[in-house]
Amino acid sequence: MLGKRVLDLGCGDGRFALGVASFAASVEGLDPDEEVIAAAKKAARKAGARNVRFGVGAAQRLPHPDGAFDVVLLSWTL
Amino acid sequence: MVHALREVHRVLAPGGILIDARPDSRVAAYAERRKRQGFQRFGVVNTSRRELPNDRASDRAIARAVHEGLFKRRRRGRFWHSVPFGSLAELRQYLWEHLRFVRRARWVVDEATRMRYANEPFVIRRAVRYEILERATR
Repeated sequence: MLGKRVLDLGCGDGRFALGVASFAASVEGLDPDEEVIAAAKKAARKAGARNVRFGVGAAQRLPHPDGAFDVVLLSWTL
Repeated sequence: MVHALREVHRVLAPGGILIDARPDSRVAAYAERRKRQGFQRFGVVNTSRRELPNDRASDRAIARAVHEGLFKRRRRGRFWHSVPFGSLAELRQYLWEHLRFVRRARWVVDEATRMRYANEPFVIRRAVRYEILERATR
């Protein structure tokens, strides 16, 4: 994870995304559930994580350009 | 699911890594009492029948993505994850609310033993399957 651009798909409340944030260059968390994304954003603010972003979205249609990430996490997502 | 894996392939840089972790329903979970050293197995918790087709579909989606040449398997295996509870009642409540598992554990100790330790810490130990896949240049 060190220095990598990480995408956490189905990130839920962001616990994994925030867990890898201190190692990664940047982390983006995506989940279709607006409520859990709101909780994840709150947790990121509380943790002071500046390289983490959370957004609402589905894995079937990712709003990112080709080759945007070095690592993708699917935890309890498939 | 395969469509999502195609999207993952698209957004990964060449040589990028996909880490997938999901419940392993091929192995039973265990209800255990936490002791000072180690655990004492109290019961077996099976996965609900309704969840099994979803788990098999996930397995097939990964296999298909590999077969299509999107990813190369680098490593896979299983580890055990513990979900802690303050008492037997909390564990039962979790099973009642958690749709993945059947609602009642199959106890392997007698009722008197369960009652004796009912207010001590319990865990459900469940298997997690993981795969590390590398994006193939296709």
